[in-house]
Amino acid sequence: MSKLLFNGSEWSFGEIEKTLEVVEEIGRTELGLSLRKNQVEMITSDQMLEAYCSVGMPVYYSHWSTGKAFLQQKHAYEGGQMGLAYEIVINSNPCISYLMEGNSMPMQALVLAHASVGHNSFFNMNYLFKEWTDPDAIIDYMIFAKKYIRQCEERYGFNEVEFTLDAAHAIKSVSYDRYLRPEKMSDELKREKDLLHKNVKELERNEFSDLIPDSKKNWSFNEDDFLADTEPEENLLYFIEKKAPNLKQWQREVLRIVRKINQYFYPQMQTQVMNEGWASTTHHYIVNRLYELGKINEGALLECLSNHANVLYQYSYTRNLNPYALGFAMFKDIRRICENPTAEDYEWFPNLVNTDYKEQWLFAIQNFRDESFILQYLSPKLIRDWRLFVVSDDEEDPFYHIKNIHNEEGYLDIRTRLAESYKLENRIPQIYVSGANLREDRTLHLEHISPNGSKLTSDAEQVVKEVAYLWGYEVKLHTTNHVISAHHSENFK
Amino acid sequence: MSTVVDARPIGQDKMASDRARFIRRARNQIRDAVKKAFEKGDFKTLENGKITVPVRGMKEPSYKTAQGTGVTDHVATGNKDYVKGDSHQKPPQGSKGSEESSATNENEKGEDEFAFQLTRDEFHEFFFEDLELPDLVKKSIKTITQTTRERAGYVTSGPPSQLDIRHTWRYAFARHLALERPTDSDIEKEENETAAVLLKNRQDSIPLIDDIDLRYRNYPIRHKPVTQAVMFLVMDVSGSMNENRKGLAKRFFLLLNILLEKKYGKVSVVFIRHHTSAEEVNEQDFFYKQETGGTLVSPALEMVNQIIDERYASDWNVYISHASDGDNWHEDNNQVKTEILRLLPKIQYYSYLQVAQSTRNTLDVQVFDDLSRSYAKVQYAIALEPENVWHVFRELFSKDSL
Repeated sequence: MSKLLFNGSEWSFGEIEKTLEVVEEIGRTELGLSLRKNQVEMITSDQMLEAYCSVGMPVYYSHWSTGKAFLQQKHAYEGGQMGLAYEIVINSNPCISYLMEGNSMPMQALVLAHASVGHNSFFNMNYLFKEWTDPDAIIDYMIFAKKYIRQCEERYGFNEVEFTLDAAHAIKSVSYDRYLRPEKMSDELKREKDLLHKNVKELERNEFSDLIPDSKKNWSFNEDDFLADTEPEENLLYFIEKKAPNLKQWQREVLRIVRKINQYFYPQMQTQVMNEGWASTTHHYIVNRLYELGKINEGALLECLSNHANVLYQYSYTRNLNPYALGFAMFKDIRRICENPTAEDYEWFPNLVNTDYKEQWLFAIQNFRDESFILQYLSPKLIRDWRLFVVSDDEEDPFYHIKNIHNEEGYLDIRTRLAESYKLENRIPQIYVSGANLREDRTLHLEHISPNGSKLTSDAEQVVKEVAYLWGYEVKLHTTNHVISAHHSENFK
Repeated sequence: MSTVVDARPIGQDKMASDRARFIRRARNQIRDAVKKAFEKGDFKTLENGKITVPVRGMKEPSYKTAQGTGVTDHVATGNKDYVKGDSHQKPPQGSKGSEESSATNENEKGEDEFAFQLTRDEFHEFFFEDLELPDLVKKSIKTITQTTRERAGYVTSGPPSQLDIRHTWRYAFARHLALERPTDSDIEKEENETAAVLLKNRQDSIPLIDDIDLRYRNYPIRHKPVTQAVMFLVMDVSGSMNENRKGLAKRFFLLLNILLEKKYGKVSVVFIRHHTSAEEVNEQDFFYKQETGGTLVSPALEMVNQIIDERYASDWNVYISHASDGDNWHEDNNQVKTEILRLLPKIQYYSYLQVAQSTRNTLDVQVFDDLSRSYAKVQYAIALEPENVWHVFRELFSKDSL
């Protein structure tokens, strides 16, 4: 009997189950990965489009922007302007990954190795995901969020809920807890469960109940505390949820939901290169092993490798580095340094040379995020292979200036700059609450910090209006060179 | 244990509620687009009841850093031309005031504006909402399944009459090449006689045309519903038909067109306008070209008769919709009746819409009243205001009247 897992390009559920079992096994025993239970779902291209619009989540609260995204994507997809991803995988437990029905069996095998082993193990083992996310509770939380928001729509009207969500969405991209780890989502769930059943009246009466720590047990509203001069706060959504004077309790809950879901993707944002690089490394390793073990034929291997090459393509002269390509190249380079070190590697990576590359891989995926990973592992050889260079771009200067190229003098600078570009502070604008005078005119002051002098797009004015809608009083955004302000107005919407 | 789930049948159309919210939000813009489409009465864009709605002002603002502002160091790939200290001219648009230009471009082009298609149901919802109307009454126009033979590739067996010589020969020739069958000229050229005989023998042993070469044209049988329908729009364009009256007719025609397309998928439309003489015209001329003069109806109907015979005989579903202000020469009325009686066996339905109060009571109501009593296929109505058109339409196309 043939050892092949499958033959030809048509897939069947039996073959997929068998293949999943084998790729999991290789991941566990050969790479030493610890995996969550997989839940692989076969979906259609339309469902894939839907998944795109709800960041992969199988459940998402209803909002017009999701509908808009869907229509846009569908338009682009049907017009041939974009292709679809081969898979989407969710940081949940069981680890849900979607396969597209239109893919061939070799592709399905590749995707299983990539998502169900690669991403799965990364979610399960990386410190950021371990400390910041709660995969057991996320799906339940999403279900709660959908239910709660539907309830609010029924009780308070579509418009009110829509406006609150619009405003929350406008500021969510700058509303992260960067240092303070969030509470476990499962604890959050316990709290939220009651909420669904609570009487509306009671909600209104306890308007400020959760503004004060431990208020659940000994609830007493202390006006002085509420009005006390506020400390600067990095998380705008959090601040408004806690301190906006006139928000209804349900609105605070809606802001909280947006904030919690947003925060859940915080680790994802910081590990794009590592996550995709690791998944690509895993699928590359596993597919080659499947071939060596005689479990797939040459045709299947070639199809996988051809797709692998497409996904990992990197254009020249761009600062859009393909995270798949960069991550894969770095993991491959770690293996090279371990197995075939050069004199240069002895100097740069004394702790890596002549060690077991698999152990080094495991160490890397557990203890780093993009920024620190690049800082730790980007080698001179890789800088040369990729011909990386640093370009300085000054708004006032009509010329770009080349600051460093791939040579002895440039390695360290290139490595530092590249790592820095993956810092979240350099990817999203830094906006924090500098204060709000609650005793007097109640103006909310926001500040845009921009050490390199970069400015905000003209969108900012619109966003300030959205903030004023929630805050209920005047809002002032202090940028580097001017102040944008907006008053709360009833007929803004 | 890991599991594999077939999620395809589950949760289809999960986006329905989000889509509904989006449409609710874009309501005004969609309503405008639908209104415009209806007023323009452009049949082509209304095909299948689908229209494309451009959506503006559905932006989701957020704080973003404007590209190219401030002083930043980027790491880029693939350098083959530069060394440290080189500089490179920036592309012209990014030099000064880049924040403004990039920001406004984004506003105009990016996510802010896009077009999407309403589904047929959504379209109808808006369409009839605009007219302050209830949902369209569902009714069935009889559809028939027809079997046809369609050309589809080649097969290795079939009737001799369908033998395709070119394809057969192509396969035979390939076989000759593969088996190295000597050609006649090969044999002639061979000077050695025994060799020539051998070649001849070889040629004989490899047939010129073998059974495996034969290719026949394939005509498999297909069952398909008859989807062919043609709608004749007949309109009086004499001097007395002013814009207002034409507008009424147009609305009526449009409704009929949508209804037919709902049933038939695709409908051919023939535009015939008439005053004292009739002519077939295109959509543009039909609705927008001004004419003057008196009215004779029968030439138009004669023309319809002629066109049906020429182009739409037998397997077409023919609908005639006729709009007029009721003007006609008295002598012509009998002629009109005769023409309609000639038409009746060939058509599915004849609807007559009068868009003005009959004053001289010439054509019209009298003639159609008589006809509609005897023949269910003929219906007439009078509409004087735009709001009436729908009611009239409904009346004509309610279940009882068909």
